[in-house]
Amino acid sequence: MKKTRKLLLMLLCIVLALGSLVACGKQEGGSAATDPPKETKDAGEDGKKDFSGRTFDTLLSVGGGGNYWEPVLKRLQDLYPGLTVNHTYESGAGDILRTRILSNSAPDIFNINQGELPPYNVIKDGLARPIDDILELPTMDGSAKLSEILDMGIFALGLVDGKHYIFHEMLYLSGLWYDKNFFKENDLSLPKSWDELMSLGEKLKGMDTNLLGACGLMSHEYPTSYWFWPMVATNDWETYSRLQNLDYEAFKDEGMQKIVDKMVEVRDKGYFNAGTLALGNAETQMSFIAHDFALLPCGSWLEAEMADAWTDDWELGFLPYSFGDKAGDKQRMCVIGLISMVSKTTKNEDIVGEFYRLLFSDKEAIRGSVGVHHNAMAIKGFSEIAGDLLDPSVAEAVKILNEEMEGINIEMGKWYTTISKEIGNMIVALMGGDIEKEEFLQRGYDLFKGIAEDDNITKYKFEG
Amino acid sequence: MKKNFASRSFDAVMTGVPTVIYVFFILLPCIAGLFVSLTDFGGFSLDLKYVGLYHYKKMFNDPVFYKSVWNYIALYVGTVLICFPLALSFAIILTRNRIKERNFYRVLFFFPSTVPLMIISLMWMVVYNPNFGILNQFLGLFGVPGQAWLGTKDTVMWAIIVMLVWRQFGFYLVFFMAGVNNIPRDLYESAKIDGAGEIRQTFYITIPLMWEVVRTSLVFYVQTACNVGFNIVYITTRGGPDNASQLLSSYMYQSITEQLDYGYASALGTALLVITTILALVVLRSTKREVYQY
Repeated sequence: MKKTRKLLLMLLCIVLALGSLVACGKQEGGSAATDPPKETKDAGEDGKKDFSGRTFDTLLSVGGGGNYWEPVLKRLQDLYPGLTVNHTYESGAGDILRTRILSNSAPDIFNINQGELPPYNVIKDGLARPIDDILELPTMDGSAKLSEILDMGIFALGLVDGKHYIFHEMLYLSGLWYDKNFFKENDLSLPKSWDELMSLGEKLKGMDTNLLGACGLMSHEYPTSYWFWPMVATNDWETYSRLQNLDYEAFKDEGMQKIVDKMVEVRDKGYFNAGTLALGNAETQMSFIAHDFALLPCGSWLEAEMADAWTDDWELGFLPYSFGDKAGDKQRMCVIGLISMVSKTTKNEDIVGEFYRLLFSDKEAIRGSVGVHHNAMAIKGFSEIAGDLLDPSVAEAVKILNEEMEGINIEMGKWYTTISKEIGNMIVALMGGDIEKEEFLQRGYDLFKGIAEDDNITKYKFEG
Repeated sequence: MKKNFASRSFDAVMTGVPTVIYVFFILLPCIAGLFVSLTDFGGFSLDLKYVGLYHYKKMFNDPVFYKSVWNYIALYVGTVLICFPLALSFAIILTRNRIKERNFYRVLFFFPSTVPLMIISLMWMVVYNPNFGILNQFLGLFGVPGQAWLGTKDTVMWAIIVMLVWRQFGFYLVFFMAGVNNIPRDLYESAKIDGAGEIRQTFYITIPLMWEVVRTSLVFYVQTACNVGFNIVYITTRGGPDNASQLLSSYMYQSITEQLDYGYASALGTALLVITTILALVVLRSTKREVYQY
């Protein structure tokens, strides 16, 4: 009896051990990239391609944009019956992609949060293929090439050695947001110059509220990309361009000193809500909604993200000002968005091409997609195609971008991943009163110098 | 006595399976981590470039590395110095004095250690919130100005230590109560007849006889401080403000998730392994006492 029990126990242990090893060896998902592709058949009379019997494998990260590929994929399947779509829409898509690439079953196309997967690392590691041939494909109505209907300015992000690698599918317009009703009720006017901003700060102080607050827990993003760099680019374009090219001496020049002086002035006059430096983005946004401060650096996902939190008295607006000197100066805002890339190993180039043709030039697919993410796309004439589907604050930001401001990509943050983190830390330290101007500038100088002189870091060139 | 085949096979399996699991899931990843720290692995491509000791040189020139080592040690020492005497005192009071409601207190204090760290962290974030937090509102009643407890360099580590103590206190309390309960009653009765008071009994009977329990807990806590500390720090401060609460483990995690720098993260992981091993050895050596049999 005792022997039998021991033998059974032994058997159980062996089964468990083998089970664990087998489970470890299993590969996730299908393997469209490794399956031999079937020939694309021309269906003949209508000239339409036939993808029947083939599988299109896509990976989309869960984020503020929602599952915005779904309407496009549905349209693709409607147009090409018989095509199977293996669509993965998951959070932690970076980990899924890593597993699949390492097991040689990469999806045909993938969209990962830029914070989760720095796109230039993907390009550097040779995991994505250039997309220039796809950009040369005709639009769905055949009237132009995709590159002719897209706003190619933003496609500079992802341009390496003269080749494009990144599709910019949706645009987040980022800058400073405010409550229109709060400004109206309190007879506050929107600042257009530094003096007007300071006078607004003083008025708000008198009302026991602050001018500005910024999420400290995600300082590498919110205050850095949506306030600091647009402010640098607005105040001194030359300094901004030099820093993009790692010219660390810029930290010793007057332009940068003046910008830090402005930040210190906002802090020292008590216009900054230092409490937000200890908060996450949701808490900071709640604090903004409670009018603890008037201006919030954030992106155009804000209205949708806080959909359940806005109180009736709120009307969200985008401020067409980035802390420039005087009225009339060109103000700049950060324009980033959701991006996707094509896997180097895809054998479904033709289906990939059809997907992007639909995404960028098929009215039904565009409207379906915008209906999910509620943001703008880098398509010429976008407002006529799907402008009515945008949230009011997003529509206003798009109008401001088109008429009053200029977008920047802040490429250096994508090229050199340590920059945003450290600049975020420096902003928190400065605005929290832990460091002064001199230390801020010295840390910036050391950071950029360290990167510039590190031969193990791939360098990129900013063309302006 | 000679063992038969079944018995020997049983022994082999019972030791073999854990050994295989240990080798595959602990030893090999450690060796792989060491290997990765010598390469430029970015998480995706296996086309690796050997970079030698580049990541270690970078680490030793990185002020954030030293800051995070210091924070880890401060977190460990700070929490131990508050949590252990407190848990030990409560364990002795609740067990020795036979307090009627001791089971109630045991459950009450143990409860925080059953709550997921995510919930605890979010709860404390509400307590510490500088704009509408409970703590600032409470202090406001006495005219004490509020603070950004998690957003100020001077207070952030203390705020985290308080969270950790609150979380861990009940766990060690239960641990120590079991230790005190195991001490034979007649030792106390003899001491009482010899005229020893409560305090002398505590220092001459209770603590020496349960010293091994305290010692094991201290070593166990080296690892717990690393794990629990990481979770709390990552959720509440992300190592901020300006790395003031950065721990080696959170810094390592950020190097992977925000920078995809697996090589540097692996070098930090190796340093963490060495530091925790040294810390555990120091604790073991410095707390070695004669073991009393009873």
